[in-house]
Order: sequence, then C-alpha cells, then structure tokens
Amino acid sequence: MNKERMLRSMAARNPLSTPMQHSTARRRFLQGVAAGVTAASLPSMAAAQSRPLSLLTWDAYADPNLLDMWRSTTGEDVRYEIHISDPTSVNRLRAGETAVWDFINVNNPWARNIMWPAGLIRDLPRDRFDPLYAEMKEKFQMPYRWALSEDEEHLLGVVQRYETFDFVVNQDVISPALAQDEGWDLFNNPDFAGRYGILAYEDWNVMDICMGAGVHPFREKTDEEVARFEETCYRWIENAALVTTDFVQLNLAILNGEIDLYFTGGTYTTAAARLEGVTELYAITPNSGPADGKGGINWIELNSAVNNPDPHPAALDWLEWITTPDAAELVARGNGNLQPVSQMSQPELFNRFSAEELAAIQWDEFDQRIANAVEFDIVPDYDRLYDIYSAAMRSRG
Amino acid sequence: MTAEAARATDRPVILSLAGLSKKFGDTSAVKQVSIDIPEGEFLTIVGPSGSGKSTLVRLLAGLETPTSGTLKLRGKDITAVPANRRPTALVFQSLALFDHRTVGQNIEFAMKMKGVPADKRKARALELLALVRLSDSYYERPVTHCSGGERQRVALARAFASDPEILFFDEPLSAIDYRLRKTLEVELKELHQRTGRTFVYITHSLEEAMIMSDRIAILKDGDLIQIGTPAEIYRQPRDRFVASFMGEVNILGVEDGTFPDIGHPAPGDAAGAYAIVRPEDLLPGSRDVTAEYAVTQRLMLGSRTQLHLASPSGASFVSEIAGEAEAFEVGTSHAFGFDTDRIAWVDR
Amino acid sequence: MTRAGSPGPWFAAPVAIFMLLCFAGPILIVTWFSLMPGRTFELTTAFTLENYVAAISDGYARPMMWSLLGAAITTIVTALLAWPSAIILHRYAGRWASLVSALIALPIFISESVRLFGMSVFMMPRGGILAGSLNAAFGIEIGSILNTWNAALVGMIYIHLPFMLFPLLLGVSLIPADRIEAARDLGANRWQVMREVELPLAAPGLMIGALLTFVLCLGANAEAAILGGRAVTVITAAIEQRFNYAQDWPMGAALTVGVIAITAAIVLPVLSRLDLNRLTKR
Repeated sequence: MNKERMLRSMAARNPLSTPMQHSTARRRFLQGVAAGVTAASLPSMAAAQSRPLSLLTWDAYADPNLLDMWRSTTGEDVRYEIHISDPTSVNRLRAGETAVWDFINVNNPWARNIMWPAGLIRDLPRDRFDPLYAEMKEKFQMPYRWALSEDEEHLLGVVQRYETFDFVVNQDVISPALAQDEGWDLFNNPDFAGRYGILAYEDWNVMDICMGAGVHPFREKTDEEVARFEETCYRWIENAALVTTDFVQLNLAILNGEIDLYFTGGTYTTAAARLEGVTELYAITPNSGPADGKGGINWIELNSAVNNPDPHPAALDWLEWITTPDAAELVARGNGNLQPVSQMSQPELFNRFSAEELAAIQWDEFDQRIANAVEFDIVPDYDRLYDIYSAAMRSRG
Repeated sequence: MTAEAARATDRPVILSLAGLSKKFGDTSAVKQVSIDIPEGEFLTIVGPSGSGKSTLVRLLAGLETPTSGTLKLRGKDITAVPANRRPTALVFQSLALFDHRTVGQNIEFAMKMKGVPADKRKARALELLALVRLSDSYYERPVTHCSGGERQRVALARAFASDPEILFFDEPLSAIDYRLRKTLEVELKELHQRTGRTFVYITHSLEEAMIMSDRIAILKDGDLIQIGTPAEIYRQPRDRFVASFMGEVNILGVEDGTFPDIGHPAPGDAAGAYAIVRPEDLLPGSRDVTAEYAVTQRLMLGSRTQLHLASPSGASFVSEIAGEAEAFEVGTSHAFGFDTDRIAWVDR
Repeated sequence: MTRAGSPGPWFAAPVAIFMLLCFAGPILIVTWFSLMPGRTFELTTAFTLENYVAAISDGYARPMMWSLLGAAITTIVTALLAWPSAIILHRYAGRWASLVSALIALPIFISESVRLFGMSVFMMPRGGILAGSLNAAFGIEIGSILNTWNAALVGMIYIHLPFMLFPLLLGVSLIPADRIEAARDLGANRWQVMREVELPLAAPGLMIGALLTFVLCLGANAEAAILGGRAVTVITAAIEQRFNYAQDWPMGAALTVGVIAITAAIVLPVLSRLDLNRLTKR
C-alpha cells in the first residue's frame, strides 16, 4: 500500500503529450486568428515595461526551488504557465501570445519545423550559446540538427532534458533483456493479449504501432504498409486491458498484476516510482526495430526564446543560466520528474546524482537506449494513420 | 337544540375515546380524554390555541398515534389503524387541496385510491359538486383557479367522496372572512342534517360551535373540561374558564357570605365560590342583587348596547341591554341588578 | 410592456450582447466549421456536408450510443438513489439535515479527477481499498470492475449524485406536509402517496435534477477515461480526439453540432414542461 500511496502522490503533468503533425492550412488559419486577436486584445501588452520573465513551460521548470534560485541570483522576477501540450502552446504563440512569453520549451521537431518558420522564436547568438553544446554528449555536437534551422544558419535553442520513450514492463514477469530483444513484438504476442495497457499519448501510440507493424514511422508509407498498420492498430487496441492518459494508473495496474507491460512509457513514467523502490517497473527501449534497424524513439526538449516584440532583457540570461550545473540539477529533478539532462555529461553535475537516482533512470543503459532509438520526428501520413487509430479506439467496446 | 342532542344520544356510539393521551417529548398535548360520540352527532371541540384540540383531531383521524388510551369505532379498536385505512375523512385547516390537479381530480382522489372506475368516479364527483352547491363546470377547473369559498366546498366534497363514516374538521373556516364564514357555517349545518353523518368539528370560536353543534366539548391545556349541549354549556359552565370562554361575563367571588366587589350580601343558597352573571342578566333597576355602578364605556351593538360598568370598589362589570340606552351616558351612575336564579355557580 | 423611449431595452442590451457573443457566437462558429472540408482551418463559403456524412458512416454512432446510454442509466439510478435520500433528509434529519447536505455537497468542491482517482484506488483488485479490506477482514477474494464500462457507470453515478440530489431536495421541500397527510387520510397507501402527490409536486426539482445529470453525463469524459480504462469510447472523447490529435476541426465541429442537436431534441421538450414559477413563487 505504501507503494501505491507514493505512486498516487506523483501524478504529474506530461511533457510528452505532443500531437505532432504540421499543416500549412492550419498555419494560415492560425496566422489569421493571431492577427485579429493581437490587434483586438493585446495592444498595450507589448509596451509593458518591467514585466516578470514569463515562461511557457513544463512543470519541471516551475519547481519553486529553481525559480527562487533564479530570483536570488539575478534579482529578476519570473512567472510561468504550465503546458497542456506542445501544439496548444504553439497555438497560443500563433494567436498573439508572443507578446506575453519570453521562453518556451517543446519537443525537438517543433522549433525547427514550425516555430522558426512561423517566426514565433528568435535565434540565439551563436557565439554565446554554441559553446554550451561543446559541453554536452557527443550526439549534440554542432552542427546538431534539431537545434538549428533547416539551412543550419540559425541556432534555435538549447537542448536540455532528453530520453527515450517506448514501453514499460514488470521486470518480475518479463526480463528486461528479453523485452529489449523481443521489442515491439511483445505486443504482437498473443500471450500478452489483455495483459498490457496503453498510455494514450496518441501521437506516440501511432509511432509505436508503426514500429509494431514493421513500418518506419518517419518515412512515407506505402498502401501495403498502411494496411499492416491498420491490422496491427486494431489488434493492439482491441487487446489492451486498459487505455488511459494517466501513467500512474498504468504503474498501479502493473503493481496490481492487472497488466504486465504498457506502451507508451519510459523513465519519464517510471523514474519517480523506481526511486521510491518500485523496482518492478522497468523502461524498455528495443534493441532493434523497423526504423533504420532501430525500434526506440528519442525525444529532446529544446529551450527557446520567444520572438517577443518587446524582448525581455533577461531572456537570454535565463537560457544560459538553466544550463549551469546548479540550475540543471534542479531541472533534472524538477517537481519530482527525475529525467536526464544533456549537461550530465559534465562530471560536476553528474556527480551530484546518487546511485539510487541513477538506478531510477536506468542510467547504466542510457547511452545504449539513446543509441537504439531514432529521434522524434514528423510522421508522414500522420492524418491517415491517426484516423485509423481513432476509429480503432471507437470500435473498442 | 336540546331536543336534537337528546335524539342523537339515543343512537349507538360510533366513536369512543377512552383515556386518549398524546405526549410530545415532555409536554402533554392531550391528557386522558374520554368521549363517546353517538352516530349522527355534530360534536364540536372548542379550545383556545394550544389547548390540544388540533392534536386531538389528528389522533382521531389517525395522523398521530396516541401515547396511551384507545380509540374504538363501533366497538372495534382502531387505535393502531393508519389514516388511510380508517373510514373517516379530515377537512384540513389549510384545506390541503392538491393544487396540481383539477377540482374533479381532487374530489375523485379517494375513489381513485380505491380503484373505482373513471366513469363512476365522475358521476359521483358531479353529485358531490351539486351537494356543495358548485356547478358541473367546476369539474374540469384547476383548483388554483377557485376562490376561497369555492375551495372550501371542494375540500368538503373531496372529504365526502371517500364516503366516510365520520368527518373531522380542523378549523376549516378560520381563514375566511366573516360573512362567508357565516354562510358556510349554516351550509355545513344543513349538510350535516341532510347527510346524517357524524361530524367532529374543531374550532377556537365558541360562537361557531353554538351555531352548529349538537354537543360541545371544551378543551383546555389538553384536558377535557366540560362536554354538553350548547344550552348546558351556556347555562351551566363547569368553571370560570368555560364561562369566560363563552364571551364576556361577570364573575363575582364570594367571601364570608358577601360579594366584596359590590359590597352586597351573597344569597344564602350560594352553591359555589363564584357567581357567574351574564351581561344580559345584569340590568338597570332593582333586582335580587342590586348595587350602584358608574358607566365607564358605552358600545353600540346595533339593536343592543353594551355598557362597561365600575362598582364602587372599582371592579369591572358588563351589562347588555336592548335599545340605544341614551340615559346611560359615560360618567353617570345607575342602579343595576340581577336575579339570583340567573346566577350560574362554579367552584373553580 | 415598456413604453417607447423607456430605458428598459438599454439596460437589457449588455446582457443581450453578452449572450450573443458568449452563447450564440461560438455555436455559429462551430456550425460554420462543421460545414468546411475536413482538416482545414479556414472559414470559407465552400460548404460541404461531408463531415456529417462521415459522422454517420465512420462509426460515431457507437460513441454517441454509449454516451446516451450512460447518461440515461446514470440519470435513472441517481434519481432512484436521490429520491429516498431527499425524502429522508427533508423529513427526518431535522437539524442534522444541513450537516448531511454539506457532507454530500463537499465533494463537489474537490476536483472531479481527484475523486475519480480515489474511486479507482477503491475499486482496484487485490491491493484496492475494497478488495483489500474484504480480503483482510473476511478473507474474501473478489475481482474488480475497474477498467470496464460498469466502473465508468459507477463513477458517473457517484460524481453526479449531488446534481440530482440537491434539485430534488428543493423539489421535495415543495411538497407541503398536509398534502401528504390529506392523501393518506383519503385512503392512499405509501406508494399511491408517492405517485399521486409527492412525485407530481416534486416534479420541477426532479426534472431539473434529471436535466442537469443527463446533460452533464452526455458531456462526461473523465469517468470512462479514469475508471473505464476507455473500455468504450464516449462521444466526448471522440470529439476531443478529432480536435486535438487529429487536428480535424471541421469533423470535430460536426460531431459537436450533432451532440448539441441530440441534446436539444431531448432536453427542450422536458424544459418546456418545466414550471419554473412553481419553484420560485413558493
């Protein structure tokens, strides 16, 4: 029962619930709305002086310790709002709230593919921020694709938290080694029908089902591939014991023995529980899969400066400051969401994490996980796949 | 009236109250009341507010269960029978008409509960409308569209529709203006005579009781003080409470063989501690007991005049005389007297 | 009845404009969107009915059926539970009634998802509060309805009971005690008293409670999501998917218009029979 109480207490918001697709038509529509709304409701906002630094962010960055440290270090006030999802926050910027916010952090495809082309974020001075990348893991070394505009001219943000996000097993039932070898085929195995749950982060589910159908999620699909996706999609959704947007519920279902595994999941959904001793939960990234031989998907959070017409003088300072070891440490542990940050390649920061914490995020396998994963990207044919997915959901029950 | 009462008492007892009591917590609302009610009688239970008369009628109707005592209907114990299985009907003070229904539906309610077919119900309802002097057109009318007097009649018809052996009335006329009340009192009396049913009527107005009843029971603080025909109650009140409840009366205490209030010897055959003298018996001129009184107030009552008097010792008296009594101006003094055979003697 | 030139309309104007903007406006925009081609984000005059055709042909009848069924069952069950509760609270509880009412009302001020999460902990198999207590106290092993449609129904009934109970309490308080006594006196048994007097007199409260519960349940999503484990997809969830992950505003709008139309078709006839004067005048 202790475990359950603990699990319940950590119900937290989800930084990964990110519908990912792009549409030029929507962009046009939202630009129209943005023009109207900005003109109507925010004429004086831009001119407002000495406003607090304003963050549109995930709750790890809303950790009171982090914000207090910022205030006492710089004397600058700061306020925040927590994301509901990546697209809702991007929509808010489109609708004219670029005049309100100074800082936004969303998952990697958004900055490069949508926010920069739409003029919602500013590029960062490379002489000041490129050196930060030199301090990070090798995979982030410049020119790092997701930090740059397509022409590789502009630096769009600083990467901070990153991790793979695939599935979670009860390691007392399924050994992690077996699960990593089997990969997504575990969900194809009739033995596990009715023994798994689905965390309804629906765009992630679509990518996972692609993997399970042997389809590369980030390539154009053939009709045959779509047909395979459809068959897999209906089967997986039909065979799921439960579908929920609340990962705490799935963790509890594993503890209660209702299910043995669930997708989508990762250390993001398990680390806090594992830190409290719930070691049954184990995040799995498959050793192999259909995406250029890989089966895992890796998200990277990019911290960017909003293209505010009245730029806050401290916005760039904040971007740099949160990468300092003291701040990055708080971000990694922010509000109970224990997640790896790119700055952990620096021993000064890395050494601050206890063995228990590192075990909680399965740090020993971290590099292997990242190596076995493709980076979160735009899903071509997303609309078609999503319609199949949602129809399958409707036909459930 | 005396003749009617005698005729009623010849009949068998329909409802018998034996030691009926009701307590609410520590307070006794009704204390050991015993009455035998003959079939066909119009019995009125009178008492001031708080006397327990409403509780008593609720006990009779079965809306309250007595703390002790028994209630028998034609010799059969019905103390524990609930209201819906007693062959009695109560006309409520509030009338308690079903405002969400028509006049016809209200009247038919009891028959509908018994499962009487709709056509028979309607025929009977129209009969009852005629009985309470309402035209057929009222049948379809919503109750809410009826005037106060019409609502009284509907309530009456509704009570009759259950074909009750006894009808109870809980001050149904108390909220009606004077003239309409007078009309309805007479109609009720006629209805009683025409239907021959047993009526038990609750009121705080002795005047109302006098007009309609065969017998009157007087209740005070839950106790049954006196029961008798109106004439008996009027002429032979049991105590000063009953006497004064009937209206304004003159009460003279007796001390050491005299009436100290008027400084006059009491008659030698004084049969109680107090002499009750009605205002119409205290008249100008010399009688058996005469004294000088000063007129303090003169009130015209139409064909009669009421005089408020003060005796030399300062006690207040009331006299009612015929005509306008022009001689008895306020401030003048006159001799007034009453005859000893007009005295009603009481001990309490 | 205002005279020409009286200030009445001017005073009413702000409210009228507010209603127009906040009520009619969104409905107009949603309706317009529902007539646009799928997955577009512009309001044009290229009207099409394809979304409505898709709403019928693409299996959305099923989520709608679940929502209607859930709303109907919840309304009936909450009414059956709330009726005796309201009668007892009104008639017998005396000065405890306000305390009991407050206890029933209190959960309304707690977030619905927190309460549903509590329910799910209660319902969990083995370690759950219900199953665990039964096992510990009596050695009884029971299964769990968690992650089924039945669990979602239990959740909906639990969440919506106050919305039925309080209007019903108001309705029951409209029944004068003497009407019940009169009916009893005229030979009605308990059942007849309820059918002939209590129900008709409490009808305004019952209808308001039923409307509230039904409409709220039609829009309910969290119960099926948290307790039902999405064993079924309710129409709200289907609409949300269309707007959010599918980014198909016109289709979502068409489904929304459909739900509004169905709701109106059910609610308006009831509403027209509701005599609000009875509630306010007494």
